[in-house]
Amino acid sequence: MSFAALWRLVRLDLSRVRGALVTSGFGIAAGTAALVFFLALGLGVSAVLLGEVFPIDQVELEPPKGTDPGVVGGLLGVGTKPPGISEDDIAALRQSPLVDSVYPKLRMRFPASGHGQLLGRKLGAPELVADGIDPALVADEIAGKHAFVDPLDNPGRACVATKECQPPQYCEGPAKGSGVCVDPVPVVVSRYLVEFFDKTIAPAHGLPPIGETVVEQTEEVVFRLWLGQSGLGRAFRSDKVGPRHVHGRLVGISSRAIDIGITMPLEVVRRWNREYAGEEAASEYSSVLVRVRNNNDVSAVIATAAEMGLHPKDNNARDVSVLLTGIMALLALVAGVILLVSASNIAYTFRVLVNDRRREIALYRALGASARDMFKWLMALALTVGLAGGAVGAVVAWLLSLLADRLAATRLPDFPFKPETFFDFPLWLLVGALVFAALFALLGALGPARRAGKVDPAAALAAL
Amino acid sequence: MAERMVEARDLRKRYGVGGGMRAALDGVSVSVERGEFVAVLGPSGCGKSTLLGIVGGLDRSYEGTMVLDGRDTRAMGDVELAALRNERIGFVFQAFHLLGHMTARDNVLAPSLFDRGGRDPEALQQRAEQLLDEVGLGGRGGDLPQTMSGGERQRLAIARSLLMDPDLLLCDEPTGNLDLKTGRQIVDIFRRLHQDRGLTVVAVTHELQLADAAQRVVHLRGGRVVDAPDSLRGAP
Repeated sequence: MSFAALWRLVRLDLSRVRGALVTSGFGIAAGTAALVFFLALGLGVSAVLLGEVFPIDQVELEPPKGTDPGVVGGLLGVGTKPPGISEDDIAALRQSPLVDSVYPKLRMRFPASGHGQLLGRKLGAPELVADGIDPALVADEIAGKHAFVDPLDNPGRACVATKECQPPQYCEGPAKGSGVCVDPVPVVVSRYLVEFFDKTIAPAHGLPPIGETVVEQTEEVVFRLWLGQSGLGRAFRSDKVGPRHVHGRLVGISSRAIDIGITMPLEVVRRWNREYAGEEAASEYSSVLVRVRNNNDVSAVIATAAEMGLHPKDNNARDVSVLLTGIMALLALVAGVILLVSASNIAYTFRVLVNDRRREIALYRALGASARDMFKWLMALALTVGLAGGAVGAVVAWLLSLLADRLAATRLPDFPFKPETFFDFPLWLLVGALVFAALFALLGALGPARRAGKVDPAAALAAL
Repeated sequence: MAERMVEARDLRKRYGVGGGMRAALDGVSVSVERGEFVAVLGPSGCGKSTLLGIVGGLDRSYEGTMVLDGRDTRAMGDVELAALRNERIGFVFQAFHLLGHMTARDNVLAPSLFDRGGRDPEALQQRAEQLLDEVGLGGRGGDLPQTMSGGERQRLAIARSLLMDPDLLLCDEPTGNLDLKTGRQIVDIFRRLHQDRGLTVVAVTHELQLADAAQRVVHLRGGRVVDAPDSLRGAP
């Protein structure tokens, strides 16, 4: 039986038994809509949680903390200092075939403070926490006109004081020494910090929340960092080199930024560490971000790192991943049950259809149809119902997702990492949904289709 | 091609009735030559339709041997047998068995749905129109069967049976649902098909009108072939 003939029979049936087929297709559509909606929601939420909040394709490794010297040890000034991660460790990690890329991080290892103006108010941080990261890590997040690079990459004229430079440039160089005019140091902050500011600091200072617009609001604002001097005291070496001011400028919000503090280009922190804390502080990294080639390889990379004395900074990503997988599996199960019920509905409809058409099937057999042709006819009809129901279900799921996103945008308060959409509709999900819908429809029609092939044509035609 | 179109040897078939078994066919042997018009005559329940089902390859649960155009149908697979029915056999039934959701034209074209020979669809369309003309239904191709009279429906069924240009026409009580006059018209069509096209026709009936048109009559009683003098109806 040719495809054209098969399609002709199916088309005739679609108009003949439209009501029953629509009812059957409705179940498939409902099941598919639930499946696509839940999975798209799960994927969308996963993308935010595991892509931005707890990235699953990477792991941040750090050395063990320094040991507590105890009261006596503290009084005597003994105890182990926190170990760092050497260039050799970084090179070893890069050589692993499971690793895609390695990004060392360098914590600022000397006292510093900062102050500046925000929305017309003077604000200051008496104790500044900062780290430096590879600019490549935030390349896809910083889209403003100010690049996240070491300002010394584009040095200006020589200077000894900032007043010699054209604002917003400042004079970068050792205290009381000669330097060069450079742009303010680019700084990125985390969403956590923005949220912390909005919920805690802004209300205390009578400031409005700044949210994601902080970069636009502070675009031309230059704040000052006081290196070697903080509210708690001076850096030991700063007795020799002396505290000094540098200028910074917020250029973006990044998931790579330190949670509470500021993040700058790696080479800037390395240079300042060398200046205020010595060579060791400039060459030993505080942590390393390892991006794996395959999400499933994270555990293997952690095991490799453990042999080097490194351990994950946190296991949130894995915990969240397991939780999300569980929730998605549960929701998919619910959708699967709906599809199963719809398959039984199709089975009933097709059983009735075959019973009603025994004589028609017998006639087709007499006209030259084989038992297999009759089986194919019923299965093709079920496939059509399944695909149509699946397509309708996928569209319904998409429309529901638009509605849900709109409600979320207008009804839910802002919260950290609140996405524009909670849903993700990859092509494989839509194709998979159609395949599932078709499979369940075929499953339902399988029994009746086999019965259609077994109709005794002589007996059916003889019965008047 | 074998000269003998149909050769049934010692056919037996039993049905379960109530608690016991009843023989529908009890050792029936019949042969039909190519181009012959044979009527199988007998009362209701004598096994005529059962015999026709076996000859046409619709019924495969029997004992004995059924050879159609030199080929043992029991040895054929389902698809092969289906192809044989499609290409070589035309069926005409007492109840017409037309497809109510299809137009007259589409009913005639229905066998082409199962064509395995790759025939030209346009040629089949033309043939369908030609057949409708031949059975007196020219211009009625767009009508639904339920708008037609009994005689028209049977003529439509005959047109359908001829679409694939079969060698053998199997008719099961083709005039059973028609009045005498209309039945006579249908019998005339069979006679014409036999004479003009050389079609082999096997018609089971309990009506002498149709039997009279046949070259030979096989009498069936209680599932057996019984002797009946041809002189009763005259030589062919």
